[in-house]
Amino acid sequence: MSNISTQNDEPLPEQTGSAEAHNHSHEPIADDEAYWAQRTRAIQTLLAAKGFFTADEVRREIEREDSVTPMLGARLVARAWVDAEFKQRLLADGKAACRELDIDTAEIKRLEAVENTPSVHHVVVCTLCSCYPRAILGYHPPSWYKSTAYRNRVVVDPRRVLAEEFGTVVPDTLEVRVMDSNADTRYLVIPLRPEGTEDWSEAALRQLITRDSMLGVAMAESPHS
Amino acid sequence: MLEVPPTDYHQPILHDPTDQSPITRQEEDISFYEKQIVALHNLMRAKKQLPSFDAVRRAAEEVDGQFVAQAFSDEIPDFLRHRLPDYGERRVLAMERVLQDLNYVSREELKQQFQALDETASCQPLAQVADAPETNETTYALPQYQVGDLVQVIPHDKAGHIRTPVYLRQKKGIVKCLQGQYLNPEDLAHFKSPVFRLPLYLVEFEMPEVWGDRCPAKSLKDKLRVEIYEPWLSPLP
Repeated sequence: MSNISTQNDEPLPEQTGSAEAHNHSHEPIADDEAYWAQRTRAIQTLLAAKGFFTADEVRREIEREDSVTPMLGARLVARAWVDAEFKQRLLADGKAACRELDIDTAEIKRLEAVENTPSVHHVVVCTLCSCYPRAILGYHPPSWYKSTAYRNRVVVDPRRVLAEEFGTVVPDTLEVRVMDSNADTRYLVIPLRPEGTEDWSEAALRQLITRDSMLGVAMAESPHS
Repeated sequence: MLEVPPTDYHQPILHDPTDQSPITRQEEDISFYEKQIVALHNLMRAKKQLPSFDAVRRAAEEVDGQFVAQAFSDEIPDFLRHRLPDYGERRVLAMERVLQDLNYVSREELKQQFQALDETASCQPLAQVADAPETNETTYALPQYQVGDLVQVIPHDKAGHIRTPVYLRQKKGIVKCLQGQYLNPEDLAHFKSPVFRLPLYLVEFEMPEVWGDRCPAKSLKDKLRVEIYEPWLSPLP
């Protein structure tokens, strides 16, 4: 049996209303999560029995996905901040720039870095589902990014959403550019490099680059914070 | 691989510009089953057992429509019929649909395995992995638009999976970039074959053009940039 199911090893009660013959508990499922865990486990067991993959492959894939964190995006941004030529290559072809840093973007068809400047602020959304640059920010977008409230509102009133929900006030003099990642491109925002970091090393700069700043709902951290 | 036509309860992704509901910033832990279904999906895609990610998107929209129309069969137990499925639940239901579309598993096998708990229920051996769709890589459509062209999104009411947000129908914008030529995801989602590459444009829309009177005063000069496949555009003088 699957190695990865050990976290869900409780014997699960039977679904309400089933008339199938069985020899385990008849308690109705009271816990939604247990129900969905069992349903997902059934999919995996069945597909493994048919030879699509092994439980070990699934475990390794989960581990791989868990290992992808926004630190990969922060490496790209920090390098772009300190190396103008790298930044030009990143802006020209995001996937090629990722290859330079050994970041695997195989499943992203096209990666575009969009640079915040003193005149333009970018913010990213997917109004269709929750398309997200998973290979560089992590496989599971934050709950708010997936919410219908964010997807409905940020395209209509981005300044208010940023200010009221994220505490990010974009000055009136800047253009706000909302990027709806509805199709084949995934976006990485290069936030403005904070003032007062001119002498900072690339490694120190990475600590200022948050996931939210690479989605455009926040600025990079201030060196004083 | 058999084409899966749009179901009559398919629901395209809607957009509600009047939504004022709060955005909950609290970040929930991801359930293990959600990680598991996402990993299964990515693994099968990487092993080329799933022809694209688009079919699961289409199937998720069918799940949405099924809940709205209350068009249930026995795959949705009674206790789940009174609310919409959340993100991970919807993904499980969508994945089950796609696996059945491809004849990888049957509804009966899924039911039996669910009952069997950790025992492996008897199941049919896999007949064959679905072929990738036939793609035409030689006939590239010559892009009809250039950077700077004015374009309008057509008012098309296409059935099934679409990748143009509904809020852009009939809106006018300007072509900012040709992003490349990509296999039509609206066909991939329904397992059509052959599938053609389409020119994909980054189109910029002014906020007042899209939202009219609803556009906030502070955003009159702000912009929306959205990728649109060429068949969704018409030329403007």
